[in-house]
Amino acid sequence: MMQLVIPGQVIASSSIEGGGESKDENSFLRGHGTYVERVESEERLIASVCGTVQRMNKLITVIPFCESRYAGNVGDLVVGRVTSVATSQWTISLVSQQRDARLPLSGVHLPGGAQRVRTAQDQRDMRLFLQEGDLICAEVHKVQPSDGSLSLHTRSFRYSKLENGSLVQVPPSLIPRRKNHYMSMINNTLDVLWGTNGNIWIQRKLKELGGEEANNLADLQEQLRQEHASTPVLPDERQSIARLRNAIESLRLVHSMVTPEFAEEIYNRSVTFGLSPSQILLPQNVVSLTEICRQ
Amino acid sequence: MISNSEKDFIVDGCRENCRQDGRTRNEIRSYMTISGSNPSIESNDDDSSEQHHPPLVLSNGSARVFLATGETHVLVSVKAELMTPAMSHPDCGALDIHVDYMHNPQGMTNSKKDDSMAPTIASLLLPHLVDPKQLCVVPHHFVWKLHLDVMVLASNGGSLLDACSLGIQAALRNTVLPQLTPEAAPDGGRPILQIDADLQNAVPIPGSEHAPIISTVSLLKPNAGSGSATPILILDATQQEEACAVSQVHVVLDRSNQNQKEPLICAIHKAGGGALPFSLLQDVTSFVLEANGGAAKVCSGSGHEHLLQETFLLQ
Repeated sequence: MMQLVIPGQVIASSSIEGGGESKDENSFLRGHGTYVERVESEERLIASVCGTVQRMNKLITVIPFCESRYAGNVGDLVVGRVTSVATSQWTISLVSQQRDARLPLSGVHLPGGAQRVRTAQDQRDMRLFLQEGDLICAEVHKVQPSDGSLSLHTRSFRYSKLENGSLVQVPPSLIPRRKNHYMSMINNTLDVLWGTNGNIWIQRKLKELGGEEANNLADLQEQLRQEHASTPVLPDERQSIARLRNAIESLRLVHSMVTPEFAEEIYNRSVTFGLSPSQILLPQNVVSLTEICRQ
Repeated sequence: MISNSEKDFIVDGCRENCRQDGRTRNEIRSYMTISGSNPSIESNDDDSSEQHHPPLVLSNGSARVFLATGETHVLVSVKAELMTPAMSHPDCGALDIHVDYMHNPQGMTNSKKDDSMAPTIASLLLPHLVDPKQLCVVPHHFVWKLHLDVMVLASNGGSLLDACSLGIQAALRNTVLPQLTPEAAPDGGRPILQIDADLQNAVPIPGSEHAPIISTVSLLKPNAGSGSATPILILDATQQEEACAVSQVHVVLDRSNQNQKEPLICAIHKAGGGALPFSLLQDVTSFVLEANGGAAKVCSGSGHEHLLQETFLLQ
């Protein structure tokens, strides 16, 4: 059950008997977003931020409710932008005005999928691989327990540099976590990456992988990406990318959850209403199209 | 910051006349204008433009201009002040412009603070906004000085100068100056002014209804593979598109002459790098005139913008 608290609200209290370790069954451990106040013989745990309470055995934390903050979890798919290249890591901006995540050199696949220790030569060639401004999709590898900073990895053929597509940004809190964040939409014509940090990447559908060359998956995937990046997008594909982008944008405007189902629903409705992609964002159309998502 | 691949995608899209948000090259996003401080929901009546909304406190006129998507948001206020005119122009009032950026701690960030904006607006717009002679109260003694304060609340949408000029136009339309009755001083010196404090009797500035607006054309360099070298012209660029642009041309359009169908161009300014061949300037101006030939595309008071702004954005 979700419990919403505001700053100053008492979440739990336990009595302190005789100054020693509390044997009280109501005792607690203080987590993030809370502070402890002692009143006479009682110890109170009070919320310091507005958010939802999370209990893990005796540890009580408050997850702040703030739409522009992204709290990473291990295994999240994120879409970020490379902001700098350092000696053995890239820094990746996930949400503006929040601390950048790091992508270590050891967290990426070497070209050709070679398995070996990274050398000084690899460090010098880092910019050939990813340079400042490039968009990537990656997975959260580790959350630093001390300060919550993230380190990422792209050690799977699903993660890579993103090219030849369109990026939409929404507040991270509008993206619900789900089983699969990599989806094919609109009759399998578009590939959409729903980054949990609020960045959504839309590109045309990549070709299916052939099954027989499975032993050289990395090479094949690389080849497909190259082909995708160098082939121009057709006008029709561009129209549907723009339409889906505006459907997502209209969900953001009404602060509705941004899910593939809603986005596709709005996409289809806008086609039925006979709206052009750019007309979706007119206020009256935003209001009428998102009606179903606002109940 | 933007990657090379995104740049190519955007430029190719502009070339094929389908931009990232589905617009064509010369399509302008829908900017909403709210005049005065307190937008009433019943302003969707047709005669709403006739009735006067009271401006913000301590200002003589104010207006708010924003994109429906909320990325650009500009607040403009006009304050009038009585002052003694310069000796060289005893019957001319004065205008002054000031641009400020709001610091916004929440998600909506002001990505770049452009210090050159105030001088650019001043040099492009100030000479054409109001006839300075209309601001004269008593020659040699009293003239009005108008302070235009532009507050940028959100600037993520690109084409900020265009939005600011729309805001200034709407704020000047909203501006009223109190009625003044000069009384000659008995000794023939400086006259005494009687000010009518009732705002109902205040009058708008003559000729301020058709202040010029700025229309910005961004020039994109086509990708190497496309075979052509002529720059692609787009109107009302987003922030991403501005990042791809080689240079921008601000064209100031004056619509004050009602008899002419096309607006007059009263100033042109080129910003950003790159050389602009003189022959291309003709293309740029005709591109702007073509896009702005009909009625101004700015809508106001359809009722829905309040829904989006007040119910969803400011909740």
